[in-house]
Amino acid sequence: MEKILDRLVNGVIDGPDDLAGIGECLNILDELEGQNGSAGALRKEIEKVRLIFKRLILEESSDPNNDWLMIQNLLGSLKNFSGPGEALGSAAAEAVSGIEPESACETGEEDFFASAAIDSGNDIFPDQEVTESTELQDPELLKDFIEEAKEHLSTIEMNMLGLETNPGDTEAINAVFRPFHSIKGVAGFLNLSEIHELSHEVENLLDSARSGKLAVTDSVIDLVLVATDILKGLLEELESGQSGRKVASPVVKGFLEKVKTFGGDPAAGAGIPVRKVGTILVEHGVLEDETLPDIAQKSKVEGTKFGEAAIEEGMASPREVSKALREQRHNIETAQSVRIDTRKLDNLVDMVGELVIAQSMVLQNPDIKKIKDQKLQKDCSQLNRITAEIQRISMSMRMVPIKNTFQKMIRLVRDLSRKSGKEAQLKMNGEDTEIDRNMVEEIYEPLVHMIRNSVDHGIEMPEERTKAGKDPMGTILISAEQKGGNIVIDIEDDGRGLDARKIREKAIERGIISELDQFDDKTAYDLIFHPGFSTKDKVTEVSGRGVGMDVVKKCVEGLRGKIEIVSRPGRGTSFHMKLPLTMAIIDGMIVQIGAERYIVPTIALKESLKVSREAYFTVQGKGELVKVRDSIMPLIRLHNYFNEEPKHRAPWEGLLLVVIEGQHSYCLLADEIVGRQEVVIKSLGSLFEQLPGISGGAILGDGKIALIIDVKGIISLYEDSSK
Amino acid sequence: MAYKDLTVLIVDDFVTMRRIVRKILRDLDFQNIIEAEDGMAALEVLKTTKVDLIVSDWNMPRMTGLELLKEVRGADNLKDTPFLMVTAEAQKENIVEAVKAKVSNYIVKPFTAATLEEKLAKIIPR
Repeated sequence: MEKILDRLVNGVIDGPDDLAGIGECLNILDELEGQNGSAGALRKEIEKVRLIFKRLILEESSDPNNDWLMIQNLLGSLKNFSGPGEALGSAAAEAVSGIEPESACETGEEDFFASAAIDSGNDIFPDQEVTESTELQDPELLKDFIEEAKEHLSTIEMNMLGLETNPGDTEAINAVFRPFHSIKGVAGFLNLSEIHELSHEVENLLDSARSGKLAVTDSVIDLVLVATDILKGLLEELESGQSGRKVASPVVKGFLEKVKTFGGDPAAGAGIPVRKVGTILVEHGVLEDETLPDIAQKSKVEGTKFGEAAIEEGMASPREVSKALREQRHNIETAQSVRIDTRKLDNLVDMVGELVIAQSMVLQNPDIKKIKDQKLQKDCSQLNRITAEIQRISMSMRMVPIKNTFQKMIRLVRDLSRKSGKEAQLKMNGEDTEIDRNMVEEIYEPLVHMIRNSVDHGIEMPEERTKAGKDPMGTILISAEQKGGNIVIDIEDDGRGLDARKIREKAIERGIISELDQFDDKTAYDLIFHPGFSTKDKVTEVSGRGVGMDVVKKCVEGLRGKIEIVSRPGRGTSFHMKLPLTMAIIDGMIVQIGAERYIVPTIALKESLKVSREAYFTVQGKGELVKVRDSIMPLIRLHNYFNEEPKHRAPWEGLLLVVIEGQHSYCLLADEIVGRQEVVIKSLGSLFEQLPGISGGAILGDGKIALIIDVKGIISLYEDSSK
Repeated sequence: MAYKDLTVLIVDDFVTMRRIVRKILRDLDFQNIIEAEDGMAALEVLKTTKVDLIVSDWNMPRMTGLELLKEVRGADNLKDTPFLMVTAEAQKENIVEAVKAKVSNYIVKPFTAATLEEKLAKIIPR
């Protein structure tokens, strides 16, 4: 102890400004206290020094120089404590009285500190702080801030929803707290007082949740979600340059009132469950479920982390704990990244496409092919590998996990089910599946529509579900998977399923089909995609599906994708969406028609085949037909639409491509299949944009251009002309 | 040494905040500015680059400013690097922790170039 005191008095601090010195000193004081835990008088002295130090550190001292003198005196007087035990009492009293004349007034000083502590704990200083910095008026900065803040807000949402299922997850609370904190920080610099104030209040709320003073209840979550929405609104206003006055003030004020009246109930925080680390350790078979509360208690009492406590108790080895921690952290960790303008990325991908084509033009050049040099051949295959890798990497740069989009759906399901009095949860699978970022935005709307449908019309009310022997909580499963060059997204609910009979009745009533039409159930389901099928309120009455499902179909087809429905009455419905991974490249079947080659997107193709002469016939008023197995389908001569002179006029000599559009199948007649290839889609420019039957162009391996056939367009041309 | 000869490392997980701090540092004539998105990333930078000043946010994922500070002070080759902690008014109380861990000084956001300069004057020998 003598030694410690010597170190103290020998001046580790240069002055009231020397924070590092103060830090050192505080550490020594801790050490001192640790050694003489029971000496009440000494402890009192140390506490006094600490208070003054804190005041100095926080720059809350009214007279730093006087405080500095007091510190020196107090530290000097500590030297008087040379022995242990109560004998110190008188020495302490002496020391205290010794400094009394110099310090202004001891009781007053403590009062001052107490009130200062309260102030800094609860008060906001936005006015004073914000006005301090004004020169940051950089529109570029503001724009980027809006962008970044929005991004962070979406992570808030998903973490918040995670908290709902696991309210004690401090890391999740932290993850929500952090973005509000950052947004507040920047808003302070940029003088965005409303955003600043709002995020500040939420931050406070979350801070009490973080420290266990406030339990994360549904209403807390609701409050934070509302705040997120308001913040988004404020950001959007900023973005559109409306100087943030329209929505802002009243909404923000109202909300702030709500937050402020939201008193933290200290008792409510008591039941925070064990940290996830514990759960993970149980899963690993390291700990028993029953031991968790004990360890948690110990870690609480000693202020250590759960893992540390488990190690101390000898219940887990450091290696096991660190493994669990790693696992816990795994989901949070993100790879380092750089922001890039998406236009640059798109250009890069474009140019890589060109590179691949240019390479194959060179390599397939007859003169080059003639060269029989081994070294050249080796180099060429090396070049091939490299370009393929570049293509793969550049494509992957535009890919993002579908997770974010999926996670937005959690909120949707939550809100919808709350509103309708149903109970529904969203589960997901394969959310790490990656998809072209351009596609992400495009599939958002259709997903919302489908999920809305599932909740509105698929999932039954809890009583109804219980009666049917189901879990009162409905489940919607949304999953994504990469299959070949496509991404397959399934949305599956365990609701009541589609009623084919009612759909048929409805379709007849609307004049979409006639009573004579015979369909199987599957075809009947497809009727809900018909534009005329339903309007929202009507459908709700008959509890069918169909809210804007035609829009969904249009969207999916616009992306060159396909959508199918599978439904089992009483068991649920699933939508099966198949989309290309990227909009820039399609998997195409290259077919020869006359002198030119054309590309038919493989996704549109059901099969390609040759038929016998007998399968072909004509019917008055219906034109040319082909019988493929048991079904009869119209024949569409592609050469007619592209004004080509075909090699084969007879359908049994040429090649037939079977495609499905709506409820009908068609046969497209081409001369032959040249091959199958992934092609980079090129726009034909505004002049040819509206060209029916053509959706774009592509450069083939030999450098020639081929047109991409828009199957749907061809079919509607056919239907129009045969009417 | 003049500010323009010093290398500064800004640590913050929020990109906009890094840009703001960078801008203010530029106003003070700093030329060599490196950024890191959290404590871990900062340590990576520190492994390869000699840094004369660290300006770090407190609240970051993966590794907080306090944890970074402890790492820095615990490393023989880095322990004397001036370390300025950026904090928010509401979190100021925690600064005592940072002081115990030998932070050189701290600054409360939002701050102006003038405030920053004042703080730097205390921690960088000129």
